[in-house]
This record gives sequence, C-alpha cells and structure tokens, in this order.
Amino acid sequence: MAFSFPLPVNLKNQGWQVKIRDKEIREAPHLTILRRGRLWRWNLRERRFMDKTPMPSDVPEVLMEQILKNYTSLCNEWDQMYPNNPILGHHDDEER
Amino acid sequence: MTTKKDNRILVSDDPDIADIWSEIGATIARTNEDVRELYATAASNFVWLAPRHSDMLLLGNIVGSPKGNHRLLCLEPTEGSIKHYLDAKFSRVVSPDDQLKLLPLGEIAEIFASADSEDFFLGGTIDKANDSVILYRGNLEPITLPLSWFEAGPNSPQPDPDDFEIIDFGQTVRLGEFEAGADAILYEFDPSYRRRDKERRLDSDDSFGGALRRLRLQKGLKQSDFSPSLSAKEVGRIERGEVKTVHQKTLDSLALHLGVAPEEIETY
Repeated sequence: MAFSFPLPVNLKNQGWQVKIRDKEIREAPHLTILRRGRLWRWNLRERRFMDKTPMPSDVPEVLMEQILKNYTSLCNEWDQMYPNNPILGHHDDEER
Repeated sequence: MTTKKDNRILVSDDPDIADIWSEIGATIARTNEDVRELYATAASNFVWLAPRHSDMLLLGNIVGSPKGNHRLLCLEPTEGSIKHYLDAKFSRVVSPDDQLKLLPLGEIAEIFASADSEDFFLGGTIDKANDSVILYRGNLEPITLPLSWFEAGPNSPQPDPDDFEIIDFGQTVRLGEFEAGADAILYEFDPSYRRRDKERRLDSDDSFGGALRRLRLQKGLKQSDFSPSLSAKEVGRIERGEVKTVHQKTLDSLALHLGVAPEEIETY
C-alpha cells in the first residue's frame, strides 16, 4: 500500500504531495514529492535530492521542514514497506 | 516506440480549449478545411487531439493518406462508422470506452506540454482475459505489462485490478491502495527509457559515488584497476552509493590510483 504523507492544508491546496510508492525496489530509500506533472525524489538515507531536475529549490522550504520534522516516522514507513532495503541497520551499509 | 518529438494538433472550434492548447505550442485546427490541410501537408510525427464528439466531426472528409505518422486521441468514445473512419485515417486512435480510462483534459495538456511526454501515461485499461495492464503513453504508444508485476511488498495489501486509475498527471498507476510510479514501470519494460534514465541519473548524480565514477571513467580506469588494494566489487559498491561511510584508507587508495588528492574526488 502506497504511503501518502499528510501535508498541511496550504501545501495540499497548492497540489503538493509526498509519497512512498510501491515497487520502488531498484532505488535507494526515498520519498517521492509530486506537484502537478513534476516529481522530485528525496533520498532518505542521505537526506538530499536525488536528481538535479526538476530544480530542488522549486520545492518550498516549508514542505522540506515538514519532511525533516517527521523524518523518523517517514523512515519507519519506508522500512515497513521495504524491509529488505531498510534505511539504517544493515551492516553492509558500512564499508567492509 | 516513437522517439522523435511529436507535434501536437488540437481539433476544436471551442475558443476556451484552443487558448489553453495554443499556450503549449499546439497547432489549432478550428475548421474542417484546417484539418484537411494539416493532414495532407504535415509530413512528420503528429498527435491529434479531439476533445469532444463535435470535434471528431471536424475530422470528417479527410482525403488520401497522411505523409507522416498521425495518431489521434479522442476524449469521448468513438463508435460505429466514425470509429472505422478514424481507424482508417490514423495509425492509432485512442479513445475512452467502458474499460479504457483517460486523464482529464487539463492533465493531458500538461503531459503534451512536457518535453518528455512519452514518459507519462495518459490512460490505460485492465485486460483481465490476458491478466495484463495496457497503458498509453503521452505519445499514444501502448505498453503492455502483466498484472503480476504489480505484486505488493510483504507488508502491503495486494493491488486491486477492479479499482484502476492513472493519477498524479500521468506519473502514477493506482490499483486500489497500490501505487506504482510511471518511472518504475517504464524502467522495467522499456529499454530505451532505461538508457535515457541511466544517462540522466549519471549526469545528475552528485554523490561521492557518482563523482568517483565520473573521475574513474575520465581517467580511463576500470573498476578492477584498483586491485589488489580494492576489489572491483568494492569500487562498484562505493560508486552505487551502497557504502555509507568510506574509510580514509580506502579514500587514500582510490586517490592514489586516480592521481588526485583524496579530498578532490568528490569535486568531480
């Protein structure tokens, strides 16, 4: 089941959405931020945008504040959906 | 699949609709004469859009065959003789019916305005007889994938084919509470998308691993050229970002082979 992060009304009304979608099995753990026909991917492990386009600066700071404020619970949502690709806790995240 | 950029032609005599589409660079055909002229002279890849049934009628009386690859998207059902007529005049006709669901006009306009419109889905249907999902891309080309691909993860409910919809301006396929991204689908089922995606990611990867990869290739080195101090497998893991913390000893070894200072690697 895809996870949709509840955003404040003003962001929601502007068309912003933050999701963890299904079948994201080939990627690093990430959030998908959507607005209309544009999509940004934000890496949950590295806490940074994964792509140069669309411009990360187009995502409002207030939305990023919401993500960072709820970072732990968002990580938990990812881990629950993708237990085989958890954000933390796998020893092979560290160099052997 | 059509890789050449498509031209857009909107067939409509509704000024409100025409205004929106002229803003995204579409050619507007307002009359039957406009349609006939464009059909006869346009010798390239064209996607035509007829939003209403009355607009489909403007497509009547087209003479001859097109010079280019002309595809047609109708937003209202095509039935009977008009369907046969349009099928004869266009290489592909996509129109809604009991099964095929399309995005609303405004979202389709946004897809058509995109430089990567073929990477969005503007409609689709479930083919239960064949356990398949058929999705139409922004260039009207279909892509067919097995329903079994939409298998949910261990902690998720299974997708519901009876509750199918394209959402998020063509960027997500929803089956009940299950949502898969268009990018994940295209990556799996379209080799040309995979190639483009790879190029895009390598260009925009500003991680340490991405910088290491660019620098290594710039120096003409293979991943195996770092042995015996580092195996090709280890270098690959670092480049793919699978290593969270790269130890100083490893950095020094990488830098030595690459002929740069350790702290310079990430600047590439």
